[in-house]
Amino acid sequence: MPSRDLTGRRAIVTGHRGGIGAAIVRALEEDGAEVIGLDLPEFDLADTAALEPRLADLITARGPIDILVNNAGITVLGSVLDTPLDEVERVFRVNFLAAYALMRAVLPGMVARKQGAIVNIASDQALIGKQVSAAYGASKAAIAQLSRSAALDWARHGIRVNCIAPGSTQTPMLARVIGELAARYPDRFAASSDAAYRAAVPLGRFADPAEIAAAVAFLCSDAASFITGVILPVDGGGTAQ
Amino acid sequence: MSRRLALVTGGSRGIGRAIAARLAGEGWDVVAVARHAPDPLPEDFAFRACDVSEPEAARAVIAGLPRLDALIAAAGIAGAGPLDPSGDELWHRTIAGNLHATYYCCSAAVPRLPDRTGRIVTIASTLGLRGVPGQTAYCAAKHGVVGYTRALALALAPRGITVNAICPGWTDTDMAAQRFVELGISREQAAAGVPIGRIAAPEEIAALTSFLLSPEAASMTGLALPVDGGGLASP
Repeated sequence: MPSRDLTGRRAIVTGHRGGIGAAIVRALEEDGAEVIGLDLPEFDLADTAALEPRLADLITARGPIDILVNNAGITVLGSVLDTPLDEVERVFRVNFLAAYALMRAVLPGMVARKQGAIVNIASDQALIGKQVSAAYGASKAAIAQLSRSAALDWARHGIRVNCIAPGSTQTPMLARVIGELAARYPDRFAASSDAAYRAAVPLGRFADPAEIAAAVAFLCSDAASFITGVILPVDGGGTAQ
Repeated sequence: MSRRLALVTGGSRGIGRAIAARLAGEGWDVVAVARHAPDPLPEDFAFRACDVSEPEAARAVIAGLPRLDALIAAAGIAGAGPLDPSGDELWHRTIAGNLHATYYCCSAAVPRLPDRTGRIVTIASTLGLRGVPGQTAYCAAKHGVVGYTRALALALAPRGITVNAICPGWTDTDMAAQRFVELGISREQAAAGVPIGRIAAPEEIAALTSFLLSPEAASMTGLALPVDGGGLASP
């Protein structure tokens, strides 16, 4: 029977100190995986030039990787006119290029051992548009499409690549975004509580980070052995509307 | 506390049977229904003969359950699809066996499912998300199942009941074997067309079903999830 057990598997999780990242680490460890976290301050995913040699050293030191979860992400709010190119570059460095570099770092070992699971954390904005989210939304659509393309390239090598598209999830990042929207765009986004944001979710609530993490753990496991190239929303029904 | 009860339609063979067996193994009380009883009868879950494309039969079987925590609407029939009016009968039979049957069972289940923990999983198909030229009726029916699933999910969201569709690609079942014969292809040729290089085992569809029924998946609703070895990533 296809099993959730991850005993004996080594995982990298980026952004493991964030709300969703910490929950992913807990879920993978509960299912038996050994987890290596990569996050600030000691590991700067935006430092693109240093990334590939540092990752090569890490894998040499720790051994081959069975599971990669590209979770780290940053937000920047703004329309195209509000967001200068250097801001767009910063978002893409973390949300896309770092994930790409991680995939380049772990794939050779996965190919050699004919097994591996990669899960990229995108956003519901990989599937739908949102106002004043030009750079962030584009970066999340990019990582989603990379997931599909890579899934096809490595399907015959025993490697599955999937993407999760979380809707609004109860994290400090979401609280910051809601506050910043109200502060910067008061004409479009009412200040006050997040009740209106919850009401916009069909299920009437934000996701708990543990619910995103459970979907990650499922996709990383043999229980998802025939699932690849999929963008899996965990969004309380948001994208079904 | 009594065990949770799941009704699995199309539960005599193929994907439905694998789902029934998996849920029974996980401690669910399972009632499987299908038009014809499997021989021998399953030992690990209950079976009742019922043609769920008949509305009264579908409603009666659900009304007769002591309780209902989850419906897995896996009953379906193959049916290529006519291109001209000579195929009206095939068209209506294919829509009835896939879409109407799903509607009859879901609508009867809705008032019986508990708030917050109730679950519906429909088994659609990758043909519910893409077109295939020789499968007009089946594609229409399965697209209908996906659309119905999404709308029902939104309708039941205020009650905290989740409704999701699973969209399997080629799966190792009697129905697929029959289709291979009709298409004049071998199982190996079908597998070669799947990015992952093989067809699914029914147990792999059951594994996702099990996850969608778990408390962990409470935020997942209105989805149409492919289990297709990468097929839809590259139409």
